[in-house]
This record gives sequence, C-alpha cells and structure tokens, in this order.
Amino acid sequence: MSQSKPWVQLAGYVSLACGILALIGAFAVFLALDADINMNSAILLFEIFLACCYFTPAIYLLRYGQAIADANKRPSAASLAEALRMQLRYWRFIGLLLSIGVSLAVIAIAFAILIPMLWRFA
Amino acid sequence: MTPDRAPFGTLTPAMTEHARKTAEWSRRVAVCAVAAGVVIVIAALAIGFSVSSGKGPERGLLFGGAVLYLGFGVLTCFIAYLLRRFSTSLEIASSQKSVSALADAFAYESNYWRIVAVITVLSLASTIIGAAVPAFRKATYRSQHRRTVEGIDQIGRALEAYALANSQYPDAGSIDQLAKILEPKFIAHMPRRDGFDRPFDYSAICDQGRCPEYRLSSAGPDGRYETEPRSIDQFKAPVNTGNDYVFANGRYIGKPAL
Repeated sequence: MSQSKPWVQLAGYVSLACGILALIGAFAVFLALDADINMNSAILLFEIFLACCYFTPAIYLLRYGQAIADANKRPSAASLAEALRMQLRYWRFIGLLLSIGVSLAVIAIAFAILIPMLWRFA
Repeated sequence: MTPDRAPFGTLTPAMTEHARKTAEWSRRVAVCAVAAGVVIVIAALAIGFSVSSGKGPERGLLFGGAVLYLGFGVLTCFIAYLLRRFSTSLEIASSQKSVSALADAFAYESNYWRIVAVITVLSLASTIIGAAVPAFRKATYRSQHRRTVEGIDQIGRALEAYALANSQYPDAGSIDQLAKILEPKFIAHMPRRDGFDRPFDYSAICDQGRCPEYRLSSAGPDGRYETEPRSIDQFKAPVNTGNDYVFANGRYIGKPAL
C-alpha cells in the first residue's frame, strides 16, 4: 500500500494539472474565437466538462493518497477502511466514466456505420 | 501495509464491502481497458500496413506514430491484465476477509500506477512531438524561404548595378560564371546556393552580343523545376511557377507562398 502512495499522488497531481490546462484552454478558445457565440459557448461548456472529468478523479486520488499516508502513519482498522473507501470512490468514478464513454463510443460507431448504409439504400 | 504489520487479522465488514465494490468497478474498468487496447493495437497495425506500402517524407513519421500506438495498445492491454489481477485479489480479500489477499491487491494496484505513469509520460511526449514537428517544419521552411528570397534579392541588386554600368546584363551560362563576373565589384560575395542548399540557376537572353534580359531561379523546396528554367517565353508573362522561385529582369515572376 505504501508503494502505491507516490504513484497515486503523482497521478492525482497530473490529473489536476490536466484539469487546469483544460480550463485555461477553454477560456483561450472562448476568447480567441469570435465567430458564433453559441458555438463558443458549446466549446466552453465541453471544455469545462472535460476539466471536471480531470478534477474529480484528481481530488479522489489526492484524498486516497492522503488516506494511504494516514494508514501508514497510524495503522488501524479505521484508517485502512478509510483508505479502502477512497479507493472505492476513485474506481467507481472511473468505472462510471468509462462505462458512459464506451457506451457513447459504441453508439457513435454504430451510427457511423449505419447512417452511410441507410443513405445508400434510401 | 504488509500483513505482518497489520494491526488486525481479518478485514472488518466495512473493509470487505469496500473491497467487493472496488473489485466490481475495477473489473469493469479492466474490460474497458482491454477493449481500448485491442482497438488501439488494430488501429496501429492498420496504420503500419498502410504506411509500409507507401512512399514520401511523411512515411517515417507515420510509421513512428504506428509504433507508438502499438506501444500504447500493448501497455493498455497490460493495464487491463493488472486490473483483472487487482480485482481478483480484492474479490478473494472480500470473500475470505483475508489481509494477505488485500496486500496482493495493493501490489497489483501499485504496478498499475507505474504503468499509468509510463503511459502518461508517453502521451505527453507524443503530444509534444505531434505539436512540435509541424511547427519545426514550418519554421525551417520559413527560414529556407527567407534565405532564398534574400539571396535572389542580393543577386538582383548586383545585376541591376552591373546593368547600370554596362547597359546590359551579364552574359553567363551558370551561377558560377555569373559570380566571377559580379564579384567583387558589384557584390562582395554572391550567394550561389538557395535556402534549400541547391544552386541557383541563371540564364541571360542575348542577341547580337547584347543581353537585355535575364532569369534567375531556384527549384524551391522540392528541388525540381516545375517551369523550364531556360524557357525564353516565360521571362515576361506571369506564370504559375509552382514551387519555383523565378526572378526575371528585376522582378519576381513567381514564388511559392510562405
């Protein structure tokens, strides 16, 4: 468990940095594009969603890393249970995100295959 | 935390429940990871096969990309394997309330994080390379373009100075012959080669011992003349010179866009 701690914290900080970069990118795109305000707003919202996708696991990972550190410092059933709880929260979030992502990807691929076929037969 | 250091022999109900749920979610993540890994490997192989039959300067870059993607795919599949072992260990830990199985799970998780770190570094490196290569190529081309234009401008000024002094342009059949005529009186050191490190081409149209027209050209980035460098009818009329830099009688007939 103590071996995981530095890697978990590193992943947490990298995820946090990616979230900050996504937010900076969102505002840069919003300011740079002066074409369609609706399009800009859509891009901004998507980038903010992307930033949230980075921030949430980053928070979970940093709290998980902290819980591992606490469990190592003061080994007890409660501290280990807390570390396991943080671990669960991270994996549940990633699992949900990936399940939604894979479902959307499958739907997109199905549409990409079906629409040209339907277009050809119509 | 190794089992011998653990202050408890078996897992508490709360720990068991967390371990069981984490096993379920990590198993789902493993399934997604293996699917993603297989898709990436197939995409990398498809790119590799399509590139291997092709030609051109982009081939090396695309092949490198395919190898990188293959590495990503293999690492993603390995991650899926580690996650599967992690979830299995957690399942055992939750069903048997075993601390040693939990320690195994943490060991697999530790390896998982190491591979994730490698993938993150590879992703960042590929992103930086992907962004830097086109920018580097563009900067290189800009520099080569600037040096070519500067060289043509210098030779053009020397030719006009020669024409002012002699009422005609130099009768030379090559850039080296031209340099011998112009140096050092009209230009201290005349550039012989363009920004792409290929020799300029110079030709003069002479009639009855006088040369009232000239043409100076560079083959440009591709090194091949799209226009015939010695063609007389292209001296005056604006033509599409493709990638060639064509300078005749003191003005550009054509040059590639920057």
